[in-house]
Amino acid sequence: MARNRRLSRHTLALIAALTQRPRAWHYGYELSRITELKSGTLYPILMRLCDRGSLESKWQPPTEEGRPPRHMYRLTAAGVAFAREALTGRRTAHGWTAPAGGYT
Amino acid sequence: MDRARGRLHMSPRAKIRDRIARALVVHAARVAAPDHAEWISAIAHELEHLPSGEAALSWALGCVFVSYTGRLRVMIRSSADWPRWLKLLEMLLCLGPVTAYFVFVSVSTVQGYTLFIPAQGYTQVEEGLIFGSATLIGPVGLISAFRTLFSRTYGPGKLLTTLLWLLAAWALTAFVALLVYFRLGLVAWCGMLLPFALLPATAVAHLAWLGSIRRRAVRPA
Repeated sequence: MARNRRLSRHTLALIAALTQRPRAWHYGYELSRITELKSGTLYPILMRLCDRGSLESKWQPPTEEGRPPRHMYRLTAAGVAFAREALTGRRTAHGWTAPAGGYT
Repeated sequence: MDRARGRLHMSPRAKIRDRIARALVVHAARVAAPDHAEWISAIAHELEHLPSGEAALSWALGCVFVSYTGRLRVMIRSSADWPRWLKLLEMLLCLGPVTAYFVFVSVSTVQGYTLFIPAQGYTQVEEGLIFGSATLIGPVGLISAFRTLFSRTYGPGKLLTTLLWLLAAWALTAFVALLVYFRLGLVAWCGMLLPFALLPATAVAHLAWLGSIRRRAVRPA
């Protein structure tokens, strides 16, 4: 059974970034730039979200010769519901708000 | 500008950072636990799409951090499956020296022997109380460890775990203060902090982990 733990502000920021375009695939570096999270913080959160089934991932084959494939992430349907619940339920508790223009 | 295009115009310093970043992700991939390997390679591949220099180095350091913590988690989890004699040996090695020192301090204080050159303003009894309490982590931890290892259901609760952590922190504080007060050298620092602070803290961490497993096992579904 998944434990209901209080979400960190980093997790909330990441969820908010993913929710801006919930059905789009995102790269790790892109998410890092949007949320300003370092890779050492970002990836453990991505791993946890994947483990609980809120996030799906896939490898994108290289688009240019000599470049490695990239790992991409997208919220699952359950993840979208979880994200909405988390953002509405926890926003006040953490004093967290999205930037004025939202995450683009 | 990404790394593939940017590499041609890199400054020597950026080139060095770039090489270090690459070496770090290669190291992270080697260290990674098998169930983390895909994630580590995801972070490593993403490095190729970052600008060179500081950002790449920071990204690679994060990759190493994720790899190390993943490996550490696997090691800690697997320690729950160690045979009892091995866990017992670990606890004796970690808590034995500090327990022996606790006995020595207690006996010396009761019999009125001086432990160290008395510190300014401290009596023998006060000194005994300070170092007796600083080494209390030994017997308390050892009793808790024996109960945990020889009982099927017992595990240190949150209160006892907190107490053990506080005792470990107090041991560290007291011995660091002693080392600073007497201005002792590096050998003395290693010789005192390892048996009286670091090893007990390791035992407490392992006991806390075993306790959390036991609590989860007995919690109703």
